[in-house]
Amino acid sequence: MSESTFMGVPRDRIDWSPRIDYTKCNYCMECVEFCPHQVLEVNMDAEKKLIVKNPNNCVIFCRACSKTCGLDAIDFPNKNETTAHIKEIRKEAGGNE
Amino acid sequence: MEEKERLGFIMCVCTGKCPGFQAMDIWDFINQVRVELPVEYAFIHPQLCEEDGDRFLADFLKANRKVIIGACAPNMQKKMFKQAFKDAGLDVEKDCVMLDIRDMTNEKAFGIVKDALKKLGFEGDEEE
Repeated sequence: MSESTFMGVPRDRIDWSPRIDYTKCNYCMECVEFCPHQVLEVNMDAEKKLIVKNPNNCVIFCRACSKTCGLDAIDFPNKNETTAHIKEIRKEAGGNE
Repeated sequence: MEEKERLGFIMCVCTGKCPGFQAMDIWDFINQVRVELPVEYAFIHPQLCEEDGDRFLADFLKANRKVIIGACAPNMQKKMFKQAFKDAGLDVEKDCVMLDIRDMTNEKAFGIVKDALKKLGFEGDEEE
């Protein structure tokens, strides 16, 4: 992880990472191939061959992995809610660092 | 060679927090491209693949100037920008040059942009 904040808010206080719908995923691994941030981890021996291993490595608002997914098996939190949450925390912290 | 219309260069930095640009000083890089390469202009966009990036492209592409985008994997760029180009009456394959400039030093990325321009017939060192 290169940075631990986004707009002055600690990264680990922002919930932004892919959600895998295992009823749709066929483990084609296109998402893993795209994502350079080790957000996802492959383990071919596990029941779930693909998991979200490092959610906080995910680039805020990036949805690229879901766009690689032909099956629409990846979802993300609601952007407006995330934005509101970031603003909330910034307000708590005094707004303008 | 007759006067060809120069391209615009957009660098997309994935919010600026993407580790893929860690090895690079993005400000030095974009200034180098602006100043030293035969482009019409060059600038940084924080996240072209986001909704506001789509809105930006919708506005920007109206000028019908071809662009080079320096960002992530070209196959991803293609997927993400295809619609925006289509909406503007352009074809992302023909009207856009997509380059992956992640995980590089300034020098290496600069070379990649320069070569792409050269392929299109724009020589950087022989400016009138």
